[in-house]
Amino acid sequence: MKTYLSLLWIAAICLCVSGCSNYRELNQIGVIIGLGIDENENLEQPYKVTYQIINPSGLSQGSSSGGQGLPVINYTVTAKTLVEALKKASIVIPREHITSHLSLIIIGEKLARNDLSLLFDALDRGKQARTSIPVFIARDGTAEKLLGVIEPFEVTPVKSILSTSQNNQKMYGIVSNVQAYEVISMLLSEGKDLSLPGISINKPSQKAEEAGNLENTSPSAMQVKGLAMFRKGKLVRWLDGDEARSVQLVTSKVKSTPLVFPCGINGNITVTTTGIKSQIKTPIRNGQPFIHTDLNVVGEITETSCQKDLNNPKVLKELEKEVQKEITKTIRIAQKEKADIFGFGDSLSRTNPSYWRQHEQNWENLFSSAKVSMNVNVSIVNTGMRTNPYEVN
Amino acid sequence: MRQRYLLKSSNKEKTTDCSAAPLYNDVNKNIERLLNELGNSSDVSFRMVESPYQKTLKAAVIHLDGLADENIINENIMTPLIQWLKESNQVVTVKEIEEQIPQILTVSQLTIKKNWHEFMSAVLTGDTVILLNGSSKIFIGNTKKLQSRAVTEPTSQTVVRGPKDSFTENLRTNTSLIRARIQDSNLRLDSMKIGSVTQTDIGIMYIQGNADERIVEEIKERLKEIKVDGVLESNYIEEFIRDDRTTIFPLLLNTERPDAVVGNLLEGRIAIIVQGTPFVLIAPAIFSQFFQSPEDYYQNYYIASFLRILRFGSFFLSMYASAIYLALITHHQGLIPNTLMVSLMAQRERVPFPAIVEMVVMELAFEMLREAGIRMPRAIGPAVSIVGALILGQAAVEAGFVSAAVVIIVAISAISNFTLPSTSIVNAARGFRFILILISAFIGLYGILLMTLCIWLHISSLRSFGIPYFSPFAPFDFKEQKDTLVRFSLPSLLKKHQNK
Repeated sequence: MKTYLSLLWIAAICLCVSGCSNYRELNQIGVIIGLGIDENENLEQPYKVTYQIINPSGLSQGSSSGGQGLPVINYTVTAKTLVEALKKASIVIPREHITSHLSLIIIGEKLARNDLSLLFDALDRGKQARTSIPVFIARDGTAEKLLGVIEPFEVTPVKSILSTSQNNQKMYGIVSNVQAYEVISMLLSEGKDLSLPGISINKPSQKAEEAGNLENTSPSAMQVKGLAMFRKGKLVRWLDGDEARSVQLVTSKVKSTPLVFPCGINGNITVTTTGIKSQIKTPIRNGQPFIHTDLNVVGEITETSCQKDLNNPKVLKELEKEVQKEITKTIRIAQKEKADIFGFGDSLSRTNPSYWRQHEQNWENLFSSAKVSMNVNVSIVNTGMRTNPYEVN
Repeated sequence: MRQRYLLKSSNKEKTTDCSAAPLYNDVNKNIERLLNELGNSSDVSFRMVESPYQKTLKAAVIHLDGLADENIINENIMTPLIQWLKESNQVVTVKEIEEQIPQILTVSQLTIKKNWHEFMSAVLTGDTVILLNGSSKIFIGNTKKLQSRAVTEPTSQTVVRGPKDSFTENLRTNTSLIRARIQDSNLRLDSMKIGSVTQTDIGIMYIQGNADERIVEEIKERLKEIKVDGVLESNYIEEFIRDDRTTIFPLLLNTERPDAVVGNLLEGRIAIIVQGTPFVLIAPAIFSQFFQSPEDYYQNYYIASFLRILRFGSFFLSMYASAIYLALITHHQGLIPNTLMVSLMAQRERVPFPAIVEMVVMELAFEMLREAGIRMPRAIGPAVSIVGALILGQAAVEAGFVSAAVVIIVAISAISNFTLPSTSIVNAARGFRFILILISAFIGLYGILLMTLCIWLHISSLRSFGIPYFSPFAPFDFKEQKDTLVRFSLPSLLKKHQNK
């Protein structure tokens, strides 16, 4: 009898507990997948926040309910703080919006140039969204505009940005994704400055926000464009193309990328790397830090457009020189901007903590005046199915 | 109603006030009394045989029509009896006949009794009774012939490779199927009758030396304590003798496969065979046994191990699949990966019911289909599956009443049911499935966790004839793991037994 009574009690308690549960039906929630943060002209409400929400009826597969509208809907609100914006968004969003599926954050360039140091506090503090989501900068535009692109290939613009940047990281390596928690830790660190990938629209002139974009074989699409270099939380400069890739080489964030160097008069040799390993060293000589990078590149020759004897190992020397030149150029730019985006300071703090503790506050000046040295070692594992290029008569 | 009547505990002593009484000396009086007690049943058949030389020398041959083998009666009782009466032309005394009868009759078993009660029960079990005029002794010849089905392929526990015979409703056939497989003098068969009205034969089989004597005694003790009017199936016995009468888990294994019984006997378990049902009980039974098919030992042990793990997995799925799905989509959307979330949302967008209603209705619909499939006359069977698959599945999804995901989940939990070799453990899973669904709709994964804890505690507390039900997992026995989740090769299993 006692057992039954206690079972009955448990059942009764279950019913009461349900009162405070977070029961939500899937068709009563709005899932935010993208967040865009821009600067607002009105200083009273400095943030202009765009939420990209999944529109399930735009996604309906099959004939059951018939698709209606676009797969995503953007809602933009202005507010004093980000959390206020989230709550305030309920004035336009018809369903309870949840941030648990937030998969990226785009920050407008203007806001980034101003300061984004404390932008991530709400994310870090909050319980719902994760901090393992990548952060991007909307280059030459606003996040609102970027999220508004009607995506021709992927289902949603958010998915497109994520997969484009991942694909780029895998195949070419201008940028690498930086998660929000990494952003926070870089902002905290004295020894490493922030660098974030930039995103833009490849054909801004076209009407990217209209359904007509889908009916174009060369539509407007998301484009990974450069690496934003920050100093103390402020965007100072964009690195493009090879410069941006050099950063990824130094931090060994890229594995496979084509390294092109000239040969002959108009020809080029392309080496596709299969493995890149770099080591940052910061020795102290005469009380001055040196910046040294050891770069080991393994690759294979995949294309030549000049006649050159590839049996000769001296060919590699030119390639090594070329890579070295490229990287040195990028480091010089960083030194000029006093933005240690490579993390030389971090390396120093690990190898020589006592020196670091003394000069931590002055690191940006020390970095900017440090001597740069480099050791690049390229080894070619194979030259493809042939050694020398075919000879054209 | 009928069941209740049968199960009615029979405290009242039967009207056998004179059962222990001796028989009359007069044959006619005995027959009169027999007919009286059986209410002049039309299937009582008796024949009076008289000596042509001696009027007082009379014998009556009595049997129940249909229960006894007419051929044996004709050839081994009537023929020699009449022959002898014809040939013995001297005057003989009753006493002389009494002494000679065992030499005259050629039946395989002949017992001599004096008791009225034994006379009655012999007639009722299909034996033939010979009464002598002037004697109070009765001669019982074994002529039992039960109508029974031939040994056929098992219907509920089929295998691809392995013996294809199964038990029948006849106790003797069943014991012979087991005996044929164990030709060892240590195989024991103890019998008893249970059911004050049905007097059902029960056989208890075990291998002396392998089986734990205490458990054998305990089983006999519990069987003796059963006070019931009738036993129609082995579940009647199971429910009386199991350790915990409130649990949903089966504490005795039942099987219709002789090879399964033999395997268990060899492992030291005890089989309880009930007249009238092909399902033999095996005790003691532990949880992991319900996931073992005899076929595990008839095929490659890598595959057998994989299949066992698969069965445990599908037991888990059949209990949890729908509950976890429900918890995820109603409480923990954050745990669903983005792309899956998107497709789930798209499916659920136009569904007019709450997820819990959708899930419970579909689960019930499946249970209905399943029940209908069993109850349905064979000829209409295919129609039911068409209705089930087309109307409930496809049409409901297309009309937007249920989401495709729910149909998939229900199908998964239903299919995974049928991978288990024992239906009784499946029923336990079905019961818990509905509880888990309800609790997960209220408090999500937290509730599932709570319920799981309850189930684990419950399983761990169960005993089957003193053996912990969840062994060898809890209490954990490392050596026994060779033949639970996985099956090691037979030579290495043998080593285990030798080491013990």
